[in-house]
Amino acid sequence: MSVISKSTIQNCAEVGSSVLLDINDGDKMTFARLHSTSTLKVGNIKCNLEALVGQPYGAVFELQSERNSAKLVRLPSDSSGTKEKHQQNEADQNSEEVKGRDNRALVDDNKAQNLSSDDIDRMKREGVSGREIIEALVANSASFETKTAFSQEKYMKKKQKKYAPRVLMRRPSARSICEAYFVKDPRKIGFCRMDTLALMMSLANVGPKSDVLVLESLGGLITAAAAERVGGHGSICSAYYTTKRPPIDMVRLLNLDDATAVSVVRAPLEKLVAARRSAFNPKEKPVPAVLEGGKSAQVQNGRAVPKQEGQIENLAPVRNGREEAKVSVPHQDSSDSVTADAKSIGGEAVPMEMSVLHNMDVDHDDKSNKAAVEAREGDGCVPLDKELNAAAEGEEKSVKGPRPGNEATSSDIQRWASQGFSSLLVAAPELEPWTVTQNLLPLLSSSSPFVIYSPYQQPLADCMYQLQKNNMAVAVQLTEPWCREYQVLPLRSHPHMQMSATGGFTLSGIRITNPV
Amino acid sequence: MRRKKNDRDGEVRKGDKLIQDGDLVIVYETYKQMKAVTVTKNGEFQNRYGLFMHNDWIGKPFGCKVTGKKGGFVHLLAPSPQLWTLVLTHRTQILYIMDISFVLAYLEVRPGCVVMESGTGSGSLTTALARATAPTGHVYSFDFHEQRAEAARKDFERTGLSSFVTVTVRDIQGEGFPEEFANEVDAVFLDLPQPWLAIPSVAKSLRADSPVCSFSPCMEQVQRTCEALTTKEFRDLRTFEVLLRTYEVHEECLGTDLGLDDSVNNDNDSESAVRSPRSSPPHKRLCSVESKVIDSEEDQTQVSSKDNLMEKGPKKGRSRGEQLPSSLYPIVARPEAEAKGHTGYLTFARRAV
Repeated sequence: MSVISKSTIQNCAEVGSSVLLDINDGDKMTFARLHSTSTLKVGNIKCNLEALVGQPYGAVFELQSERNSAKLVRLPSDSSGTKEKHQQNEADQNSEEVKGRDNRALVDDNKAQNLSSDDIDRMKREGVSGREIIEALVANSASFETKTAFSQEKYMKKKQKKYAPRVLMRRPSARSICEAYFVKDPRKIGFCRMDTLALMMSLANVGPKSDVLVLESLGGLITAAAAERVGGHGSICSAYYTTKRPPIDMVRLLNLDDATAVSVVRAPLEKLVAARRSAFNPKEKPVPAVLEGGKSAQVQNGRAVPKQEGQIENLAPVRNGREEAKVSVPHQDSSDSVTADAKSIGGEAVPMEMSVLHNMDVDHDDKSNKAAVEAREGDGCVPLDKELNAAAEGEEKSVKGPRPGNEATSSDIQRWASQGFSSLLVAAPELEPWTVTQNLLPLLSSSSPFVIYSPYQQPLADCMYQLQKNNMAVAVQLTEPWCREYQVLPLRSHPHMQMSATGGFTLSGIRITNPV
Repeated sequence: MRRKKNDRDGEVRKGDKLIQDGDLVIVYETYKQMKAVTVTKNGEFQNRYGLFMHNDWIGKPFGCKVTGKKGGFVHLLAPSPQLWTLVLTHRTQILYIMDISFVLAYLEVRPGCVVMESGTGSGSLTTALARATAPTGHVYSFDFHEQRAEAARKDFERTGLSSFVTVTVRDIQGEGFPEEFANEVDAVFLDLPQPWLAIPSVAKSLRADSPVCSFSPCMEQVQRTCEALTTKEFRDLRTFEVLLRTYEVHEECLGTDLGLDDSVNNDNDSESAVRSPRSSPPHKRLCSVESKVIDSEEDQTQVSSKDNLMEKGPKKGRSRGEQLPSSLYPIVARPEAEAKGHTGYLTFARRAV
């Protein structure tokens, strides 16, 4: 083991980097892109983010406000909180004096604090630092000394959050993006929880050397997760079936290297399907995969077409089946919340016909997203959208090099058509899964896995039933991940009081081929 | 590094790749019955569905259905970490897909990452890690059990991942991770009886801001590990438990006739209440017969496995043979009766900067 493989992972944030800012230990999560003018607002304090440039991910900063200015100052690693907490706990357990304390003498009459809010405002105006204000508050609190170590800690923490907020700079990953959205705006990601997203990547065997087909309306979350796993050693095709491409801006929250950014492309579904069909034009090259697809469609149409007949005829019912399927795509009138949300991600209603758009201008794409954000401004659930947009725009200003999400070239489409995709990920809760499956499964090479995500169980159950009835796949499974977080502290370990009741369902399987 | 003649590079197959002599295939009978087989010229494979000749497999595409001498069939699948977990030889307890996927996501494992783990065990997680870090990263796996390490190496040869994994015999609890890894590692995974003993060397090995995960079945282990992690070297301690619930899906027959003459249900059944089974065409799936469970497998309709099929099906109170005048035939999903209740706790922390 003389030569160790060196990691190729970047460690520091640079100008143009996308960062996830964790404010006050998870109280608020916010995405930002670092450039000379980017700012952060905590409460009513606004500060420049330039101080973060060149700093390592994982660094902790304190927002120090003095007079009219505020700045982020990096804290040494041992002040990031865990240690203090630990010491407090030790103190709590060891000190008899503290143990004996309780709140029997507490009178909740709001008179314990001698400083008035005017006093504090005055201190702020005079440029007293946040830390000094906290000290003053403690010194002027009549009840602080009588509190248990626990409540002292709690008090200090509360005041620190208010007067000296801490900002932890995290490297955005598909997981952290998912977690942040799941807390703040879960609709935007179709209520897909982080563990479900993780499971999807494993079930679909997404990794280097994969050619992944994604059909999603979760704002780019699935595409981002796949891009991260493939890491530029394969391709991700984020397909769309609407006239305007639904944005996949979440991909841009990741700091993708050039190779990875280039590997993420978009294509209209219609084109992919057409290319796949003509690649298997039976005149040139009869391939079992097409026959299989044809067969299943025939079964579905209840037609018994003898296998010996010409293969061209064989394809006809497939087309019919598909056209019918297309019509049955649920329409925009659905009042369902997720469907509605998925539409607003796209910035427009979902048209019924798929259509082809060549080399759609990316700026235009951004505008449509902006419009969507503006349209939703009244909904009260925009903060992340705004950040997403700001992060995406910042990228334009400060990042050179390729960006993810260009249109697929015709040679890409040809390659996928002849080889087939090696994974299929569907996360479009507004679409009927069986319709999607019938149309998209033939795009996979034989023995390739697929995963369909939905916040709803029933459509997946219906689809699973059909898949099995038509012998289109093996290892078909309908699953629901369950995830519980624990508090682990000496003698005080227990599950968190609150947990997510659902993170969505997945239907997965492996496409099979039955040669004639 | 050693490569087999058919370079499998991360195990993904493009197009409809054809099975060749020397290939590893996953012989799929049912979801609960799969086997890893290396195809050899003139080789044979025998299972309860009959005798299969490898020669018949060569040249067929992965994902195809092959028929044995007795007319039974199996599917031949391309290997993937997910399938490998289901077929590998158990030398220890192994991690399954839910824990594996969570670990990969939380450790942010991606191509180019250098990952360390101990122990190697049966290589279930190792296989997934290798798949995820290839082709530019590497997995260093440590196990104190000489034979187990050797068996794992053989497995990685077989799955075509040996150039992405290095298995070393070493007692990590006693000796810690090797010094030369100091500050070089992007993620560490521990599955040890006393993981807290390894934490100081984990702190040394991890690059700034990089995560560690410790998997332990017992809360007492988690407790001690968290205490060891509560130093200035780590932050963001979080402990999770993840489980997977699987559903079985079938068509169910629900009667709508309560024997009441013209009660409420008349309004309903005008449209949707009285319906023929949706699956009418090829299947004679009438309520009076026995609502058939298409559980995980169409294969199960093959000869011998019918019994356990029935067990899994819902027992219905209705008497058979009685043709119901009006019924609904919805597709229903029911959680499978048995599930893993607990595998282990997953504790994560990040190296402080």
